[in-house]
Amino acid sequence: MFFLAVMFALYWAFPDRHRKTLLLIGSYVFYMTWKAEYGLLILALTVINFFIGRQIDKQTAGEKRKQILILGLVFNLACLCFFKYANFLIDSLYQCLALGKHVYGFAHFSNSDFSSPALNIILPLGISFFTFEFIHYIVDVYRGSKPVKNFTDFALFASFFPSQIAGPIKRFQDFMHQLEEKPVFKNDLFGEGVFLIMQGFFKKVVLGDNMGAIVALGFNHVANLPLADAWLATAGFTFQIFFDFSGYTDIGRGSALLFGYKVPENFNLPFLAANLTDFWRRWHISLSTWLRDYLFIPMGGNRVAAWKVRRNVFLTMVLGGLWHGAAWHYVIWGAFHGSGLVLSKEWQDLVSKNKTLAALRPSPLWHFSGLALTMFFLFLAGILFRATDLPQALAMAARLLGIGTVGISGAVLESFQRSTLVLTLPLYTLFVVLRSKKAHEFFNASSLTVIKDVWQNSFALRLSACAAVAVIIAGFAPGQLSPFIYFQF
Amino acid sequence: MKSKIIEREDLGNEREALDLAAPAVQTGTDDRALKSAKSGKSGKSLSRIVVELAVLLPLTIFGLECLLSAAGVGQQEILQPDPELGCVHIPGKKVTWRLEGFSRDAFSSAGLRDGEHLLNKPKGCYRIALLGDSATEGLQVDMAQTFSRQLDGALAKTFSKKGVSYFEAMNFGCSSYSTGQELLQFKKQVAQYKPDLTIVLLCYGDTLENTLDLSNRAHAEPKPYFYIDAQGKLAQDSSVLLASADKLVPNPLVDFLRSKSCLYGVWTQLNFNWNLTDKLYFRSMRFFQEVGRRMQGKARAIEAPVYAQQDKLKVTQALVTAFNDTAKENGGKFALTLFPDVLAREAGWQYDMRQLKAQGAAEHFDVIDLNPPFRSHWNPSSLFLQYHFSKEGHALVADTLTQYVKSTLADR
Repeated sequence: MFFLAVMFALYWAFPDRHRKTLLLIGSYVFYMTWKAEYGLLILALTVINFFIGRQIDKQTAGEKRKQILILGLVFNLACLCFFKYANFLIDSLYQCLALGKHVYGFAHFSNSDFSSPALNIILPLGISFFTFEFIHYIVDVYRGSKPVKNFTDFALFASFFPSQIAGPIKRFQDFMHQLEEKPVFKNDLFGEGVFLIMQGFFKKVVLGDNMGAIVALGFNHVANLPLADAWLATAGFTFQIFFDFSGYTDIGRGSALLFGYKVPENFNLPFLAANLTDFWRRWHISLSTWLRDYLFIPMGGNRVAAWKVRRNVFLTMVLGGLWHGAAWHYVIWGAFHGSGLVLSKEWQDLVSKNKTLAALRPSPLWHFSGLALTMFFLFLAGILFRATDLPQALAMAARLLGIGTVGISGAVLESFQRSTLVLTLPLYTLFVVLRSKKAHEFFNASSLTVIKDVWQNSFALRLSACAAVAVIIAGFAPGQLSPFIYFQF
Repeated sequence: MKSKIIEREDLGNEREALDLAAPAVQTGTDDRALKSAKSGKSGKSLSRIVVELAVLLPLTIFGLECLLSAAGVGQQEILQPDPELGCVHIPGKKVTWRLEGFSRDAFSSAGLRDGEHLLNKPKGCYRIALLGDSATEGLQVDMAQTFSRQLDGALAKTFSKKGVSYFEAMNFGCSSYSTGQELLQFKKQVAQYKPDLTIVLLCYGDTLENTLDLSNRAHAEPKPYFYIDAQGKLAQDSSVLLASADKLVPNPLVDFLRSKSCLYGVWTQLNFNWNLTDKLYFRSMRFFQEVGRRMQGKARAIEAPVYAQQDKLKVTQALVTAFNDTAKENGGKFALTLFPDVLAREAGWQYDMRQLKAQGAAEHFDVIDLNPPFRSHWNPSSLFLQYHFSKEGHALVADTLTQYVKSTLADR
């Protein structure tokens, strides 16, 4: 926050023509305070992708353009694989060899041959995000978009600090368009930015981190977990990750707005989704649209035979799972979501063909059943995401079914009941409801206008509200803050 | 599509900005008139903001106090400065504890983590004073679950003795106290209640904190320290307390905020966390405090007693001897309880416990060793949260003490 405040003051104090350069330098400083040498990595990737983009654009021959694109894709993916997946691949290979020894009895291997030699690689922060932005850039240039001419602009697109570490994954066309305009300080953007930052911190610190402590209590004692505790820990994680990630996105979007830039939205009330397809339209939108545009559609998308569409959906989600983390439980998480999406599609097809089911579809009961089922699916998928390994995930799934549980409720439920969440969760829900479109329609429009007018005309009221929210965030924060979950990806 | 929407919105704003500027240029408004109109407007709006803030600020503070109080946030402040003991509980303070475990209740008007007790001991009452640090205080569990309350309940239910119509266990435990402070607390506060039995729970940390680390005198916590002087007698080193005397005097406003305000509690919690985690903040605060002190000219030389680096166990043993004598002089009995080291990991504490038991035998006071019951429990890890007793741990301590009190009274 200190860095953001300094950058904000400098940015608007600097003359127009130097602001982009300042933002670029600030973004690199921000990144390099974590690990200076990895600043060079982003710089190298930026230079190479900038060059690749220009080369693709220069070529008139389709084959040549394709070759350069493939070269660019291989380069970006190789970088990602090296930093993110090298140890995972080596470890998986050694596990396969160990399994081979166990099954086929490769006598000439000693036990020590199967201890995986891990490489000493530190995962660069945000590599999954900026690599996807680079891939999007070169693919779109190949598809006909005009490449970026100004290197500073391109470098800023790749390193823009509000979205540098965990997205949202930007589209260069949107971002470049904003860079071309002269930055003008606008009160409404500033106000919206501060509001989003506050909302983000509230979600992350007050809701996410407090929920995280309860979830951790459950997952750390999975061996003898009571039934209600298992359910609470599992459900809690689904909400924790939402508050954590959408909180980060709000802070990032809000910070960008303070400099006059808009970055894409990532969430749209995902827990109101009545089926999985709808969920992925509302959850991590910048990733799901990326996966759609650069993975699902190139594989054939919906314009192929029905079984191929299912295969494409499944593979896209498996790769989406692998993108999240270099571990098998993430791959299985992706496969689980892929299977869910395929089943959801089959079900929708069945419903549209069956007249009785189709007639039931508009009923509220149908809708709420869909909500509950989707939520249940997300809880189960969340176990795969949260567990440190597969045995822990399986143990937690067993506790949910009442296998190996010790009693009905225990420390997790007690901890939840005693936490501030019993107050802050309903408050946040009320806030979401009041901000919804339906609430606007429901309430008398004139009284809403009065409230809105008072809010907009009173600087003192806005200042007091900001101060109050800041105090609430500080006061309700747990003793130990945890890093953003998506920073690890 | 999104980019187009943004484009249209931005163009709209640009156009609006241009339109607003247009009339001034077209009508040729006089610059000075415009400036005076603007300054009048800004003056008015500034005074409006001030008036609004004057109304909104108390409302916001009140609203926040209500919300924080309802949620039990900002109520973890439990101590106030004391010129003799370094710190004492804030009397009557509502406390919501979340740092380890959970509890939500209030200290008594005398500052005890306990219910109210009469100063004059009623006839037929057998009073047990329990002294110690945070382990005795037991903020990690509900008050009813502390071993003090459970001991009280267990004795009332299971035991009656000629001449004793009822029992009263009083919890004088206070976070951060060491044996020396507990001895002073006994003289200052506990003795007035005339306890028949005084039980001090001794932890490993107490033996380390009774003496001053001479190399770190400048940064030592303001509290009384003890040492063995050249004549071999126990003596008190109050130099650190005296050096911080200006911080320890009562300040009505701060004391009121500390006692009543959740907002103040949030601030102290933040200040504490930032001091721990943010080096820049810590150094800045130290710098400003030092500057403030120098500007006020309060830096004064305190004459500190000169003595050699102390044997920590010997000082603690001397304090225990003094405690035993003082309790007896006050007409009661003294007993020492030893905090359990279930996994026997602390070699130093194991040695100290052996020495203290030998001292008990030599000086005729009882030593209640919690190690055997804790080690023989079917699940010892359930007896602790992180560092402190869980409710099961408190129950086991209460059970052990109940057996001890029964046997003591049976021998009487």
